[in-house]
Amino acid sequence: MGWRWFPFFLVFFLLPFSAYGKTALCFKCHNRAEFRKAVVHGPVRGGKCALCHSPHVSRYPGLLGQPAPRLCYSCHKREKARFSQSRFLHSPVKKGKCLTCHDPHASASRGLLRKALPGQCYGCHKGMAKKYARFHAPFKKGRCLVCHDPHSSSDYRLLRGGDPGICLRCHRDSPSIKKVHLGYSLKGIQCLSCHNPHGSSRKALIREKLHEPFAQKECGECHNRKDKGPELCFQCHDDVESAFYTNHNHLLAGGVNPCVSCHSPHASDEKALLVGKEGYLCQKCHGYTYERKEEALYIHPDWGGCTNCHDPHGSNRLAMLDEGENKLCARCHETQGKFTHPVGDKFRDPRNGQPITCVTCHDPMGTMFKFNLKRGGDKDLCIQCHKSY
Amino acid sequence: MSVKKRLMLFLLVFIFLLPFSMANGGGVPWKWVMSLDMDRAGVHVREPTALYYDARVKRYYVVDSGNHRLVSFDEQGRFLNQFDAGGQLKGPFAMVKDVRGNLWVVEKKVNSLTYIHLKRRAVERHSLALPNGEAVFPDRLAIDAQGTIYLLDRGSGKVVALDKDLRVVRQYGAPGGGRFCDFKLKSDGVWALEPLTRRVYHFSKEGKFLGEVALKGDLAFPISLEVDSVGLIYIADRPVGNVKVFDSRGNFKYSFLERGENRGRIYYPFQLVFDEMGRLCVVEEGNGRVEVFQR
Repeated sequence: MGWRWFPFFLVFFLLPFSAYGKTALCFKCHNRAEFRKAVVHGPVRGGKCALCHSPHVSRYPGLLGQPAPRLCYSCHKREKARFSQSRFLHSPVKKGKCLTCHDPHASASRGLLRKALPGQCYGCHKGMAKKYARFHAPFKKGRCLVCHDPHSSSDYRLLRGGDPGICLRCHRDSPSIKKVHLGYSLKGIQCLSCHNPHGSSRKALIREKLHEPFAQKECGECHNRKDKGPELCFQCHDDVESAFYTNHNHLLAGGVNPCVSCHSPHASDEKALLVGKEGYLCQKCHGYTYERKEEALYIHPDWGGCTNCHDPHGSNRLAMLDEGENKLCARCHETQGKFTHPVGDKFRDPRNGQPITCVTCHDPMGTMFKFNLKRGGDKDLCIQCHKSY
Repeated sequence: MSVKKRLMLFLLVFIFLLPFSMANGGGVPWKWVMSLDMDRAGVHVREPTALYYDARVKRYYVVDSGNHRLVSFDEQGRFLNQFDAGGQLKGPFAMVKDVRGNLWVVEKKVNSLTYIHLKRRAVERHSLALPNGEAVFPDRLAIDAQGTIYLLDRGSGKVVALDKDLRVVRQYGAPGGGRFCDFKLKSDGVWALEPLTRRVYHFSKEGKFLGEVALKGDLAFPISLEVDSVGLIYIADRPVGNVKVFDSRGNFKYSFLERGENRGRIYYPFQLVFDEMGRLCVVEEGNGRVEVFQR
């Protein structure tokens, strides 16, 4: 055997170390066509299957070397850093479920999305696939990511910028905008308070439910009054005024009329002219409550219906509950309202001397235990008070 | 002593000392001292909202909002007295005492800053307004040695200083907007907490903005602040049920306490107050008590 065989041996020995060689073995079983799509993940393209997968044995599904998202973040370090500094995370990102949206191998869509937009988003956000008489152009084209960041944002709606900044990127702050707003100052204005960024039956995408003076075009009814604070609103809505004379209330100012923190003075798609859906709107300030919910194994049914239990204006009770805990819970839990562990003023929690209520044992916001118990119901919870048992 | 014996001795000392170090909270410098929680008849405080410490008479005054009364305790935590202005107090929320020993009380239910002249047994309710005519919604309260009253106005989210005629003479607001949920009056000025941006603002008493501290680290819902003599900032994190400590640049130092009902745990903390001896008092709305800790 002479030197003429040398190239053959060279190819034979180096082949396993080449991209083709590395993947050839894998593709003996795994269909190569599955990995040949318009967009291919870098390691797949480079034939580096072993960068993510262990070919022999693994503790994780898919023979992964590490579980997601740790595995993903081992390369996507910039994303990890960005997400860790963001105030609001998209639910799958928060849970580390990158693969909910992304295909780790190859996809027909940009960003290795499992489905093309907007189908990918509508997979979870089912209510969004609505038909409107008038559409916002990006929404009509299914370009959700023009306005939304699918990973993280400083805005609870995961917008790519604040309101009105995000809107003014396209709708330049031109004199015509001022004109249609009847010359009122647009300083500090929030476009989304009145306009639906997806669609509406109304012109200029004005939201469906209108505040009476706005509907009647009687702007001066509010704008020409001397009072600019909450008293302006109390002049008509005097029924809610007393709710703000409480220990805990949502009189949240910060330079503007506190009522408009939650209510639109012009138009809304929600009940009580809220500026967002109840559950999401509350998240704007109460992010931690939502984080706890994500981590809890057991949560109260209809969790996002905050105002079922809480008075959104104010209350003297803990957590701004609508009513004393026992009466409040018995509204739905009728049996427990009549027959239960002794509760009320006559029965005291030995740990703090406070009356025993439903929330002495249950935490309706979410816990790791059945029936939303605060501790394990077999013994751990009971011996908190019944020590001799 | 042989190496083996030395090793045995070290292990024995270590085993004996370990439980004591754990009991002290693993390095946390605060130790529970006492609770201010019930009167002589055994009636527990309910939903307390504030604490006022009067250094002149060395007494604690707990605003027992749930029972519509003010309850006083001595420095050892012994119940002294209770006061409800002959049943006239309506939703007391905060209080201070002036130099004559009379009381200023925030009554939320009637949106009033109420003066209670103890000798005359007179209750005077005052509705306040900002210079622009908008109503003030009184919340947290403080008084300085000159008798100037400082008030958090929940309507504007600003701290306001009042003159003797209860006119607003100064306002302390976050320069970039925002609303305060608590403030403390210190010898170096007014410190105020903005909960949503997690910032602490510092003003001179004359109202000049001196600086702001961005609190770094996880804070679920900051509700109250205190500032100690070396500039450390203490924040009560309401839903988490602990106290977080930051340095004067806002860097997280440590946290202590846990959410719960047992002694040494806190449930819905509402206010932090340092007394004259540097003891940290935590007003716990959920457990109906004030827990006092010392270094």
